[in-house]
Amino acid sequence: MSTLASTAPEDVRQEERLYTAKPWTLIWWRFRKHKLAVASLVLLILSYSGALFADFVSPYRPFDIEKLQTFVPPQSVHLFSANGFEGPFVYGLKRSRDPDTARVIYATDETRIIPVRFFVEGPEYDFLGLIPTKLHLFGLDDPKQKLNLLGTDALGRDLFTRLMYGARVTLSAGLVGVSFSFLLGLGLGAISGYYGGMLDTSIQRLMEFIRSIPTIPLWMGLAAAVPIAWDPLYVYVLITVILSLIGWTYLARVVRGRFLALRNEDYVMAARLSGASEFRIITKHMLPAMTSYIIAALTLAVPEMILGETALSFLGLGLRPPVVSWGVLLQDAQNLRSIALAPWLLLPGVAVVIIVLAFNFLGDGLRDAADPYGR
Amino acid sequence: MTALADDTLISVRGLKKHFPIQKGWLQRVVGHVKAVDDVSFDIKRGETFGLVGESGSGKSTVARLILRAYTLTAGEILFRQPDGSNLDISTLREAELRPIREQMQMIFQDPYSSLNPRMTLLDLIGEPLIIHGRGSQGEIRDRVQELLTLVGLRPEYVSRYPHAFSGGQRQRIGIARALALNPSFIAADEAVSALDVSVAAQNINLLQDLQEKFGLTYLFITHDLSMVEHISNRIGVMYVGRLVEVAPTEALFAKPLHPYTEALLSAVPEPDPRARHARKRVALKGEIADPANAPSGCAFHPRCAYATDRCKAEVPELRDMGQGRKVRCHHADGLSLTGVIPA
Ligand SMILES: Nc1ncnc2c1ncn2[C@@H]1O[C@H](COP(=O)(O)OP(=O)(O)OP(=O)(O)O)[C@@H](O)[C@H]1O
Ligand code: SF4
Ligand SMILES: [Mg+2]
Repeated sequence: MSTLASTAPEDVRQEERLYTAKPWTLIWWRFRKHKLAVASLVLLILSYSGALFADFVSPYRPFDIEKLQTFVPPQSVHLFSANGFEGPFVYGLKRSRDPDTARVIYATDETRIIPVRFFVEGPEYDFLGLIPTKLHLFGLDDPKQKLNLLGTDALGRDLFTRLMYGARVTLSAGLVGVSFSFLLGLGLGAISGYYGGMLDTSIQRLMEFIRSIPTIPLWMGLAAAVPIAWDPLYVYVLITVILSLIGWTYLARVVRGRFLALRNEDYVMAARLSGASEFRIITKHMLPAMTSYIIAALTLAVPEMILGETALSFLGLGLRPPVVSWGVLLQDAQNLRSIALAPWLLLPGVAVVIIVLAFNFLGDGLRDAADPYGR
Repeated sequence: MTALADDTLISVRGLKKHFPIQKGWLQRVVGHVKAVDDVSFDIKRGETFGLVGESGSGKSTVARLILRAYTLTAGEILFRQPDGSNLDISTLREAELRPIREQMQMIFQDPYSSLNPRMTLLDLIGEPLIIHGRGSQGEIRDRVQELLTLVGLRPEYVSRYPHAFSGGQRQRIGIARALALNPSFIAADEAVSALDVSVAAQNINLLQDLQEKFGLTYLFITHDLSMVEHISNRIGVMYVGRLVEVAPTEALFAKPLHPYTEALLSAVPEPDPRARHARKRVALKGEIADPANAPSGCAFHPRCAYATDRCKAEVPELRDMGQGRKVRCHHADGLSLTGVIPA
């Protein structure tokens, strides 16, 4: 690198910036090159903020029933009408019944233009569970008209709103589950890799055993043991614990591998030969070299948790209504009739796929950037 | 504990390291790798003792034992202290070793893996100073800059990370770090083997300058004999965990006494092309023996051109041959072996 030294002052300054760049700066520079991973990161940040502020972002409340608005298909937002530019608006809906099947049919009424407003007053809620307010990010002025971006379900509840509220449960279940497995994986992986010997062999065998159990039946068995009558919050915590009982093995393997590799690094021996204490070696030399790998491994473990929650709830073994999660929402799309009638009820499944892919891309990008010193 | 000669800094006696081979669920010990088996030698104050031998002969293990990176299976390591007394460091516990670690340091082979890439030069070279409580932050910074100048790097580099430097420069950073606490003894394990010839020569010169300046004592390990010729005063040759010959450098190159040394020497490239064809080449046949399962008698006998039945049955002792030479061969007196320097 230093042989490339150039004489122009600007280049010299650039080089010095590279030479004195902190490890995390280098990791970030390397990560930045993965466009897909960066895009996934942005998407995930947006999704998680959307979930956090679900009550503000969504125009309605998740349990608001609208008897005359069942199975409304997704409405599209327009900018131009026949008269030219109008700003964002939706057309009014005309409700009629099919004379043969008595099914409700919705048709757009192009003569009625209803503008979409930002920061409008809507149904009252407690912002973040604390501040009572009526303000919503967007909505329609007229409370009698409804804006259903993703359509409605059999009870006329707004699917976009429910998807946002469901994101809270599903996305956080991923993080909570991963933090449980983080504790188990880091602890057991570190013991395994640091001490080695018999302890290592036993932990390795235990992990192999756990990994060899088919996940879905095990989850089902454990989840079926959760009493139905329990507080949904307990059920939620238990489900995440069940998910993490499997997930930790992957993490433990990464941590163990890093410990084994680092234990034999010359610079760890150099520190030891300088008289460094075990504490100093672990905190100054081993852990800093592991954090980026651990973060990447954690990221790659989240999708499994999310898929687990969704699968269990979909099968009716995890979370149950009235809790709203993506798995619970997908229960509505369990029969052929509703899929034929209202295919948009499958959208929570699409959301799961997108989030899972985003986590995988992000994790791949992080893993590639985790060691910016690779030769 | 026997007394040391006055000019001896380190005396290694009967050094052994047997690594257990473990198998199966219960990690049962099924055998031992005798990486170092009964090695004894002295290193004089201010000299460079070269240790040579093929890969796997146990050179690194010897260095790591002396620096107490490993616990010994058996043996004594007498280390002369600044007050003139000599201390057996072979049985000291880690806490007792801490003050000793100031006096002995190591330079590593791999200039990449021996420097923590996540630390600046200030943290890297300053780490030993911090551990041993040598001065305030400002004083440590000054000392690090002084050390950088000493090894021929610019003092402004303190806030750079190792990735800014080439292999040869990194090796100098490792040297600066080793010098930080003013040690009396430095073990250089293949310290220049990973570098280009010209860079290696530069760094060897640097090591020699530093030795002169600070009266350092070196244990210089390499598998390349042409490298030790210039820097070492005396050389020890290792084969499968044992020392087979010890001699002053000149004498060893002129007239080796052990057939293994002769074979190693004949592999050294001859700088003078006209002299090349004149030299006898003793090719080493076969592979170095497995230290977990060494051959009977003289471990070198399956590869030795001079082996007899006695060699297969009887383990030769390391015998004193006078003039500071020792050899572990039954037939050393009777053989006339060729070196590389015309005698
Ligand atoms: N930690 C260890 N555990 C088990 N065996 C070991 C260990 N370290 C070294 N050995 C074995 O001991 C023998 C001597 O190894 P050592 O590294 O000392 O050789 P060396 O002469 O330095 O070789 P090289 O030139 O390859 O560095 C080898 O057979 C090696 O496999
Ligand atoms: S003892 Fe025998 S086998 Fe060993 S080096 Fe001497 S001659 Fe060769
Ligand atoms: Mg070695």
